[in-house]
Amino acid sequence: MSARITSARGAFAALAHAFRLGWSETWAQRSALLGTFVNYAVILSLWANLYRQLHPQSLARASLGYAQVVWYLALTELVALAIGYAFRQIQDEILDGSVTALLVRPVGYVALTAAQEIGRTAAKIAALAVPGAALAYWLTGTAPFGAAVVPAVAVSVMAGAANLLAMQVLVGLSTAWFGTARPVFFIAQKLMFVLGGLILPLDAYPAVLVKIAWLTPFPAMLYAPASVALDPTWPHVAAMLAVQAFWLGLAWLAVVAASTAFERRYVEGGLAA
Amino acid sequence: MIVEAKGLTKTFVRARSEPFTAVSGVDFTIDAGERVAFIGPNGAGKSTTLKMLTGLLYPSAGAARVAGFVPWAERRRLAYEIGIVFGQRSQLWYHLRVRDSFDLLAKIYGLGAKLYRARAERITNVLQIEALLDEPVKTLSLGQRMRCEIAAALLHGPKVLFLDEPTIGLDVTAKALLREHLKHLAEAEDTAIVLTSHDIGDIEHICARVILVNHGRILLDEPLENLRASFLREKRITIVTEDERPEPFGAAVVVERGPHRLTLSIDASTCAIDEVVAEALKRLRVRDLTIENAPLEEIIRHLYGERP
Amino acid sequence: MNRFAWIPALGLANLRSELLRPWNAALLGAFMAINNFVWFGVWALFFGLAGDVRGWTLRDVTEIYGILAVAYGIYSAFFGGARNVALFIQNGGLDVYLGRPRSPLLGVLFSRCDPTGFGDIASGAVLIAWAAGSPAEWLLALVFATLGASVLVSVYVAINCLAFWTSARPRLCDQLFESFLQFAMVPQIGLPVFVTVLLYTVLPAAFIAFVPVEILRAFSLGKAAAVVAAATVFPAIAAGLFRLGLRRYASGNRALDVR
Repeated sequence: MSARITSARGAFAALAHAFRLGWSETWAQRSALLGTFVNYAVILSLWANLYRQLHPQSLARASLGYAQVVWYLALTELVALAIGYAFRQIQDEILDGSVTALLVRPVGYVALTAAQEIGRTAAKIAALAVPGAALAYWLTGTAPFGAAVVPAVAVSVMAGAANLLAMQVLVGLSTAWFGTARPVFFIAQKLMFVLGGLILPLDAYPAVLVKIAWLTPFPAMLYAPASVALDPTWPHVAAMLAVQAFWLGLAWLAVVAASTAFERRYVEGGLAA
Repeated sequence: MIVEAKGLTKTFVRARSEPFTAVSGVDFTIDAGERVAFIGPNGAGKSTTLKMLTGLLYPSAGAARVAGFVPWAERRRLAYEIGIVFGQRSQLWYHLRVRDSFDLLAKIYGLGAKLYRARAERITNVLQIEALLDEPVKTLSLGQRMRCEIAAALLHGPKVLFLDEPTIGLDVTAKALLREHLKHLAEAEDTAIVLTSHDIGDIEHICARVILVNHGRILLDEPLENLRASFLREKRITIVTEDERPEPFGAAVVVERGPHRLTLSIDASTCAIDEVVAEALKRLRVRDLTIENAPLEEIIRHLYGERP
Repeated sequence: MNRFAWIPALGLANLRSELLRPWNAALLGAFMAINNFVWFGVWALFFGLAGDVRGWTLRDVTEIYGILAVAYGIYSAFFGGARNVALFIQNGGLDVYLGRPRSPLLGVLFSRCDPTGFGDIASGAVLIAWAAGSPAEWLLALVFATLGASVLVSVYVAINCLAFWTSARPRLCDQLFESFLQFAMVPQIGLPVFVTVLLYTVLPAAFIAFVPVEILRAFSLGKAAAVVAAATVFPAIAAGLFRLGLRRYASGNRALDVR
């Protein structure tokens, strides 16, 4: 088994450093940030264009307006694009064998990778949030929430991203059993799009689908942060943050379990790859 | 003449920095069947020269002809007449069997079935890779892969074979094997060889002529025999000892002396290596002993009287 | 020997290389197909709420998505190396292809086969079959998808060719291509004029699936000719850009491969 760092303080310092590394390397890759924003702007603009052409009654049936649904999409896309394809690093390191050297560090491989990835995600959110909000404002001419709600939205966006990251870590680790993570990623991502309410708030879904969605962690990833912005009343905000916290705890427990199983599988030589 | 270079020059233009001249006024000719080594330290201009001769780079000035073609202007036609082996890039199809890669290359080079079979049989015999033909490339060791790469580069019967660091990363045995095969193959196929390498062993075993390049210029263009006589006789013996401060002995020149370590330089033409080794074993408590050629950089410095 | 024999041989070798692990290929294909059906669910939810968008219904958009999926599947299964162009420009990987007496661009295009492409083709065909009004429409849609693949691959190559002249990294090229695909995926109705002009010229996303579906809804010889023209003109433009870029590559005025 890999060595463990002897003090919690030492481990925390290492993880904090990994976070800073992820943060600074993302800011250094300006062209990638630009590419992510271009992608974000194209998706938001195209869908806003579609929503603008709907019959007004269509959205009203779900108690939605054009501005609300565009801002909703601005926030779900922010979370989805900030994480991107985080699973790939883990998949690639398992497949090319470089994970071998990484497993013998005194801080767990998955913990370090996750910390670095959180740093990258935080950097992307920070880079996209303002221009994204500016674009949404330009498309709608309004903002559905005031400055007072921004902290709650920010916390909820990070919680959504952390949930999504946990899923991506689990997907990446699945490489150890399936030899590739891509198939699992495809399914997980599309389920997230549907059951997490990427394009449409869950409020617009058929009732049975809403029930199914809330049984999964996907709404905590996308719907929750976006709906906090649309319905910034404290009962709703508290409910969404609670749901996110619940799934966050469960997801990262699953990550710890998967990480332990992965190390055991790797060290005992049973790797499918 | 199968290769002719006249005043070849290459200057690279960089944004936000000064232009950099990698090769300057390089002149040489190579005859059919000749085996020539291009040697020089990193950044000397070896790979740049090779790329100009194979049509992968335009020169800034100068002219060249390879097998009658101007490389950068007639690259595709030239490709039928040359073979290229990159030490660090593979031309084979990673997941497929070696045989499949060969079949495919035969189609790419438009080889008729009969000619392809005859050539493949001959080359695989010389390189002793018959047993590897049905193995996927990804399962081959580096030495096996390099032999297959060379075979692949020779299938279409090129007049010139360009080899860019072909023995890089190979162990001693694999290097020796590859060098033997290359030499025999070049003789059997009457193919000129142009080889770049850091490894003096490659030069000594494969080539008959050496072109030494540094800072983009040719410093030396001589038969190997002359180089051997002048510069390759120096050997370095590194001794690791139990003694903390090993004392030098005899007429050997001390190159480096440190804790538990002594490096000596001897002229192998005047001083018997076995005698030096025997003396070392007698005087010192030896833990390890290595004999190697003097580093190429030092030969070059020595060549021009520069201080190390 | 047939002077073009190397093309199918190269393409087949590429395919065989990936199909050596048939279960892996089948798994990837199947999951990609499921991926596309789940995305269909997103459209179904959208149109469940919307009803239609200026007369465009779920069937129309499904046909767009199906044609795009087939086109994309053809790219990734047979011409998957298009995404490697920028990478090979930057790491000198083009050298291997330049050293051969054949088209380096085709060599690069055939250098990668992604088995998810087969899942895209199969699921795309199923989605078109659901949306199409007749077998003839289904067949015609597949023909359009093949033409669309030509445009799609050309755009990917052209975007990657940026690496000849700029420091555009492979990741940025992928992101720009993903943005391009978004244009191709969504019905291009009610867009600002300048965007529409772009989508019919510099960023020919309209010709991949949207115009074909317009033709399938109401046949227009002019539009059909435009789609065929796009499928021949844009590959020529991409090949021309690549050839121009090769001159710069061979001038060496980029990062040297220094050892």
